Amino acid sequence: MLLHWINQKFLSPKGFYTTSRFLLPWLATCFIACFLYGLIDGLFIAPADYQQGEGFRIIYVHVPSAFLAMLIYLGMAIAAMLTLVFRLKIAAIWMSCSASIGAWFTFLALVTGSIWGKPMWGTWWIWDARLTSVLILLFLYLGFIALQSVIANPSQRDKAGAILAILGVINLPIIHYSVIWWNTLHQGPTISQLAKPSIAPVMLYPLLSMILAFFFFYLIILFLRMRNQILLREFKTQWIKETLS
Amino acid sequence: MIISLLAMGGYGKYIWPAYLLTLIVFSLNVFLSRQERRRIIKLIKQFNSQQE
Amino acid sequence: MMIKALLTMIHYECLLTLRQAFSWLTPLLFFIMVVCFFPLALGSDHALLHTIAAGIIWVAAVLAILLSLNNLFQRDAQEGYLELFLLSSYPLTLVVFCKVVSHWIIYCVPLLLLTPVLALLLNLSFYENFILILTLLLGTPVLCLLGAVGAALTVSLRHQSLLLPILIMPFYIPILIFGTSTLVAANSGQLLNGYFAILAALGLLCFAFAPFLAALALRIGVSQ
Repeated sequence: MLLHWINQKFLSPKGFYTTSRFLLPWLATCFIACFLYGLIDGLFIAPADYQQGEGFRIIYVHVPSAFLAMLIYLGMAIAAMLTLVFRLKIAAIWMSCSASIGAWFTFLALVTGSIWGKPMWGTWWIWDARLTSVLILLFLYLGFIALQSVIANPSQRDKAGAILAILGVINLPIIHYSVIWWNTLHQGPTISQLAKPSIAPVMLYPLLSMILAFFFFYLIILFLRMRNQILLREFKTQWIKETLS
Repeated sequence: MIISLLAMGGYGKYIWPAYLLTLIVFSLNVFLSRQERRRIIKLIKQFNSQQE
Repeated sequence: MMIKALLTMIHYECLLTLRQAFSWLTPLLFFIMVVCFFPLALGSDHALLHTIAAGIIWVAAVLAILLSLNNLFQRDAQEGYLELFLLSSYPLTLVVFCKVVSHWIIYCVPLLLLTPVLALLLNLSFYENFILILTLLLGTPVLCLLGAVGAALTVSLRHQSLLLPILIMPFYIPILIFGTSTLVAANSGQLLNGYFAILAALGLLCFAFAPFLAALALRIGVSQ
């Protein structure tokens, strides 16, 4: 019964189209709330850092974009496995649409990281483990987008993209640890699941709020683009004709 | 007051462009998604009118 | 029975590729030219070349292999043999493995044989030369295996030669890092067991995953 409900509301293209229309205003509200709180608290209320002064405030955009960039790739990998194993069309659409959003977030993480690096370390770019890993992640995203843009047949495009995404996610830890091993200059992670966060709670809460805000923004853009893809793929069906007229 | 806010203790010229870039990327994504939808709907309407 | 089939297939693939001398000579020539480009671009300072020699030869090898990967499935795709492989009783994974082995024999062994000569051009000592060849010996199968997945993904596409390097190069980064840093460690006199162990481990991982993924991608490319 539950599976049928999930299938009806989320997995079928028509169901997802209807559900996403209902969910988008809520997502937008959550995004605006989290974003405004994180922005105001992060930029104005949180106290200046002892070592880095006001300059640390860039983490409120850098860390969320880097975190989301990795999370989106993991989401693409899960969607890829669902595409290959269960042949879910909606999973394939999720995977294709996430790629360009992930690439934007990775680009943002790179540029804000570079801007943060200039006052902190003195150079615009430094070949440390974190930034280099994010750069390689950008190449992975761009390669995926390139492959998907050249294949015309939708089902072939979905499956080929899924294989590339799975190859990428298998390699990602290997690439990440080999780059860390290659160069260990970046400061330690500010938030890790196992260790205690090394920043004060006053600075942590706006950061968490911004991460949530970026996540809601990802969902908003993802839903918008998935709706576009559903329109493209299903435009011959009756329910689309009725919806559009 | 506003000057000190803009300066952010000397780091202002790094912080504000970063946040501005974030806002630009966000708005660009929303705009591009909406534009893609308008383009697709136009294509579908063209196809439907050709069919009839 | 299976071993005999494997050996026959490898023998057959090698013979076919050898017949078209152009296809395996050009990546070799490309390898030599790329290695010669670096001293031309950076100046012939002996100390500088000695420091970056491992990186140059590894990058040139990566580029030459990327160039050669277009030929991996192209001939079979064009002449319709891929459908026959799909229909045959032998698993496609094994077929892919045989093709990668023959690809390695034809394209990478000459590369390995040429490396000592080129290392001489870049001012490497005998010991460093030896270590470099060992790392390439362990690394080139990984490059061929990962490249096979890329070649299989792009097998029926028009822009294969452009797309394949872009797809596969991020995955080459770990093997590149570990291959070149082995030589750096050898220069400073460290024990190299760990480095070779990691290179071999990456090789085994690719050997486990890559033929399967390439076979999966071939199935998709053919069934359109």
